[in-house]
Amino acid sequence: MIYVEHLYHDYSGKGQFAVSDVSFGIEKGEIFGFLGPSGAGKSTVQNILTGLLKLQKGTVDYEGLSVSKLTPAFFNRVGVSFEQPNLYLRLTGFENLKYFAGLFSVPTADVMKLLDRVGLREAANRKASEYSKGMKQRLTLARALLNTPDILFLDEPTSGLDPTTAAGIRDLILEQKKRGATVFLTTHNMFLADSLCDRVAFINGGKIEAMDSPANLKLQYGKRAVSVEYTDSGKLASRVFDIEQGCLELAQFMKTVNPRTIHSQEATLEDIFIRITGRGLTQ
Amino acid sequence: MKRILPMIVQDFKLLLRNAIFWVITVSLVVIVIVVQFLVPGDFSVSGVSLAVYGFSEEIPGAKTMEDAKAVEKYVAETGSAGIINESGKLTLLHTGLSGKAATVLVSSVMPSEALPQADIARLRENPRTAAQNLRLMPMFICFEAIVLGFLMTAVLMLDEKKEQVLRAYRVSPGGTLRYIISKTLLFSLIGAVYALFMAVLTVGFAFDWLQFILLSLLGCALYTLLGMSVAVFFKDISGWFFVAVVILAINMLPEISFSSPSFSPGYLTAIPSYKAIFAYEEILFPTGKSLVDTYILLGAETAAAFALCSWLVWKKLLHAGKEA
Repeated sequence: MIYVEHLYHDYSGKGQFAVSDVSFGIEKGEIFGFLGPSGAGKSTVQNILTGLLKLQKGTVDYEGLSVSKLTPAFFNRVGVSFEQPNLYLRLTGFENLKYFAGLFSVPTADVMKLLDRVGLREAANRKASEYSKGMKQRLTLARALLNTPDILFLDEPTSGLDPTTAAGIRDLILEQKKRGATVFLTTHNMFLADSLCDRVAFINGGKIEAMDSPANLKLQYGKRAVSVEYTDSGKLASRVFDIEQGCLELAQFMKTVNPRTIHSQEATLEDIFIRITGRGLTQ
Repeated sequence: MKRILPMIVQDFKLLLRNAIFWVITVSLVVIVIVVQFLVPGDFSVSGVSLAVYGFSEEIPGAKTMEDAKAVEKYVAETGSAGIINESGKLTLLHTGLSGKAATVLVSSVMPSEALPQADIARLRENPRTAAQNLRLMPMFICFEAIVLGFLMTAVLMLDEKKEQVLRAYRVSPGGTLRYIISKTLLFSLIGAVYALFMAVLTVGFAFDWLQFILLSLLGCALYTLLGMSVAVFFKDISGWFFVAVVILAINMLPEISFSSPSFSPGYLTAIPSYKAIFAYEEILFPTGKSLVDTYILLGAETAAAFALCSWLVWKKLLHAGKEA
């Protein structure tokens, strides 16, 4: 569906590449996560993919059509949600969506239903300038879904949202996958990426450091171990068991203690990212 | 048109929620009130003064000088006009008279039987009598209603830049032409309505509405396109404001020619408002002069402005590589 090969981008024009030799492909119906800290090059790649930034070097193809040859009509198939909400602040939430719906030459979703889906029905007739950051973020996401897009670009869709709202947005993204949309998700939220993405790419310093499914990355870089918390003479104690070679020792230990908690020691995507790049996702 | 209409409606809503739009609207109302009730209808406007030499009889209203050099000196010092008669050969000295004004001036000092048979034009043939205060209306319409699009389209565009909403527009199927056409149509309509109100509330209903609307639509479209072409270069209103004021000040220079029709140097006639202001005068106070040339010229200028604006908006705002 989307093929990116040897992508470079240099803002300065002096050979200081914000994105360097980035290659990946995204299949139809896949949620592809681009994971990296601020300034890693995530948004630059998304901006090149959406045509907001000029393609300087490399290849970006949509089913054989180069990104540099996209026509306005192509965007009937695309939805883009930005990290920084960009809305007409003097228009209401309803008016914002109604306006953008009018730009498409394909059928668009019912604006009120969409606002309801992102939890903004009550605020539909309030000006966007009166919205909180989270509400603006949701309105931006709703705008990206107006045309029921085949390809969806989401840049930090849960940034600044409370956990309940973030969970609602996560479900909404999964709905898009179920109906067959291809999703390019840019985030530094490892939990979101882990719970949504079929594959993730770790980007750091403009380069892709690793790319695979979250499960495979955990297998490849994680440690198979279990941590048991138990009480010993009235005091809380813990012990970690390596289960690479089996669980016999763990099973025998469990018979002898009163366990309080049992946790797998599976690595998180952030652990793996730090291990690969030497820096955290929130740095 | 079906997909341009929502854009026009949206821009109109934004306009109604913008304080600058209401300031302009109030200023138009103030102009109408001032012209109707505060400016007297019979104030006099001084015309061009004339110095002459070599005529056997005294020319009414002209100052007779002792020699040709005195006429030259007078013209140079006062910026007025002079006519030297050397054995029947007339030399006209001036600092920027229009061709028509020059002909009228020369014919005014000649006995009718001595006038050349061709190439004589009169500035106003049987002009409709109108109070002087109403004669100011072409000027006010030109420099208030017609430039509304120049100002407001820039205000809207700069708001869109500030709110970064153009980034969202760029990843929609909107495109450059729809963006420009929607704004141009909206401000052409609003400008024409404002111009009509100004004319009707002062001059009345007795003028050629069709020509008035045509001229207003062309003028407003031209200035809206120029407004967008200028605004693309700026990030915010504070940067744009100074340049806009300078451009509007230059645009108002033809007011000098309107007040003193004898002063029409080439650099003033090249300004689009020059043609518009005299065209409005002709429509509101008709003399029977054809305005086809004016419409053709304004139409050509609007077409050129549309091409320039399309290129600039695409290049500076909606083209890949611009972080609008």
